[in-house]
Amino acid sequence: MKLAPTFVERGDWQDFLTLSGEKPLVVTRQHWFVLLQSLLIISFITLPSLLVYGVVSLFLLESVTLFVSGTILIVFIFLTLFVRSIVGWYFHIYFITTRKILEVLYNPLSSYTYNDVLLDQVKCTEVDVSMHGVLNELLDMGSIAIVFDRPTHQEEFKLHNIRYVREVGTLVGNKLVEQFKSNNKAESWYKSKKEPRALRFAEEIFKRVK
Amino acid sequence: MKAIVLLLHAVFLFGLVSLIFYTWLYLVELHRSYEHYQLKPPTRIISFLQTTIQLEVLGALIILGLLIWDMR
Repeated sequence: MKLAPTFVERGDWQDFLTLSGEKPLVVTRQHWFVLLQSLLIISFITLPSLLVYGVVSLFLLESVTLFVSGTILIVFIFLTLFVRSIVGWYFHIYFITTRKILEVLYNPLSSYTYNDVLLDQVKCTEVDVSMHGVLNELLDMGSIAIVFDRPTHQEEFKLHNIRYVREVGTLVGNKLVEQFKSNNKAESWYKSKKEPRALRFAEEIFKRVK
Repeated sequence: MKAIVLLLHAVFLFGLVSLIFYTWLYLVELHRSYEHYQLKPPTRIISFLQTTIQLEVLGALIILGLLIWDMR
């Protein structure tokens, strides 16, 4: 029997569950293939540069010692870039809980992003799942765009290149619809007195000032 | 030609010393990631970085040795 994939990555995420009654639905990093891609790019840049340097130092400058010292530096630069990519991937986490959606992106000495949307504050939503290409189809990798219609402006929250995109998309769609129904008590649709059969949608409801 | 080789050795040595400093700073920041951002750092990466710093120091010593060798 095939077990259903878990959408909550292993780890202690209690520090991110700050709101009352908040439970994690999806906690995921980007697909491992994203990491593999960046590591391959670093390798494809490093290896030719090592080759060119070898030709220059051994045949033009005719110095074996210079080749050794330069190679040591290039190898350590490669290792540093390698570690940076792994850490950047490791600390890029998407959280979807029953109360909020959050993206954390951190790379030491470089960047920190903390982007969250409180589900209590949004009015309606649209969940779009996209997968492009054969490789993405085979690896079950894709993106999910969650569109919010906030009172002030439109907001799109995107989960880029995540695993199990179809299942997560369906889960997010179902759970968020339930959540929005319970969160947004205000009636947005109403019956007009002139046309009782027709339903009208209220974008904003303001109190009349006398 | 010898002057160019010596100059390049010195540049590589400076580059590697800078890289050691950067890796050390990176490691310190990684250790503080939980304190600052509630993100627990991966233990394997931390031990890998510690080993990398040791290897970088060894590499810097090798380059220094090669520089002295070429100065003779």
